[in-house]
Amino acid sequence: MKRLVSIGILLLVVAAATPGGASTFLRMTPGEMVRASAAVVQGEVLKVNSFWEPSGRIIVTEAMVAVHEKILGEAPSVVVVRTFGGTVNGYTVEAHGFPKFQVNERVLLYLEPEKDGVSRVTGYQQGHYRIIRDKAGVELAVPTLDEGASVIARDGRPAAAVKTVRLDLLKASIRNEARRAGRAILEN
Amino acid sequence: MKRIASFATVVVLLCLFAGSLSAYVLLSPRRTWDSPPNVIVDNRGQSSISDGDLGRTRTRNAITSSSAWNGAGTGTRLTATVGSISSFTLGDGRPMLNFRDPIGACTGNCLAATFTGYYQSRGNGTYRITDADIVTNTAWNWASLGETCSGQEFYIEGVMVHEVGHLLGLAHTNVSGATMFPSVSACNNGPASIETDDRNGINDLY
Repeated sequence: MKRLVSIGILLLVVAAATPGGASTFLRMTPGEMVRASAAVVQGEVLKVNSFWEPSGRIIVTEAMVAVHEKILGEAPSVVVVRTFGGTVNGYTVEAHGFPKFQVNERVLLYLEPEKDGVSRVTGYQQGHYRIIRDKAGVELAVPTLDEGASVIARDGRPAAAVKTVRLDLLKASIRNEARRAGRAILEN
Repeated sequence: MKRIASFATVVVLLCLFAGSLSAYVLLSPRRTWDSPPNVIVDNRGQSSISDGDLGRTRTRNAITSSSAWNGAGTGTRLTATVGSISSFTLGDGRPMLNFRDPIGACTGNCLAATFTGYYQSRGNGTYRITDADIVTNTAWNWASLGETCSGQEFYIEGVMVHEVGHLLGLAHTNVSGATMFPSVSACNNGPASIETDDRNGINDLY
């Protein structure tokens, strides 16, 4: 019974701490994600740096990601991924529903075509997975979609939740979608 | 007796938890404006809206309507003015509703994005919003109540009342039909009118 009480309290704490969201995105299908991506890579975040965009209008954050595996398309050994929002000199601009990066996190990223040496994540948080290992040592791809993003289907209804999947299955699924789209596949 | 007390505690906790799943949610950390913000509505309007005014006046009227946040029962929550957004910048203390996206943040599958910026701690666990801006993706078709809505168009009034809810400090709710529910159907302007859950949320904040 004590355990039940503890679980109840834990659930309350989690519910109270869950942040809400503020941006609206249309759900992209796996096929759309692949077609919109120049590359899909697995890697690790080496460095995260926030700064004011040269226009001075908004803070952006760039993550340097070491590419350990190219699942689709071509990518350099280190990619620079840009997202909006961040903190500079104690000031925060929160870009709700946009990808957020942490140093040392292992990631799987769908990347839009590079522009000026910088890539963006395809589909915002839909194209960003964190990679973890479960107790059995199996690698899992965990979606980063949070309450900051309202993801809706094209008919306006909330899109079905994206679930944590085995990393190898997600990679196989990406390659299958790429084959369907007539894209060259990089087998590892 | 101990077991009954424990059981009752669990029931109460579960009820509270269930309640939290079906009620308004505030942005975390909790943040509010010190005084009602004046939102500048982009005077260029939205080019896909064919109501003769490109939706700007109807958007301003919708977000300040007594059917929306100003009608929640605790006074004026915001004012709005149609004006120039040419100085659009996060952190300038001038909240703006931009019908375009000058920073290129909301492209592709993004319909509209809200940035809350420069909120400072008051030292009591709450934060002060000093600026917030909204951008819109022009790649999607928008409509206003001043025209016939067809196909996959979204009503600008409903979407912007929802986004302004975020600008004021509200997050998404699980209460279907509420303005802050994270969903909008094409040609459904329901979110332009706030519901009890939205009213409770805004009155909790202010």
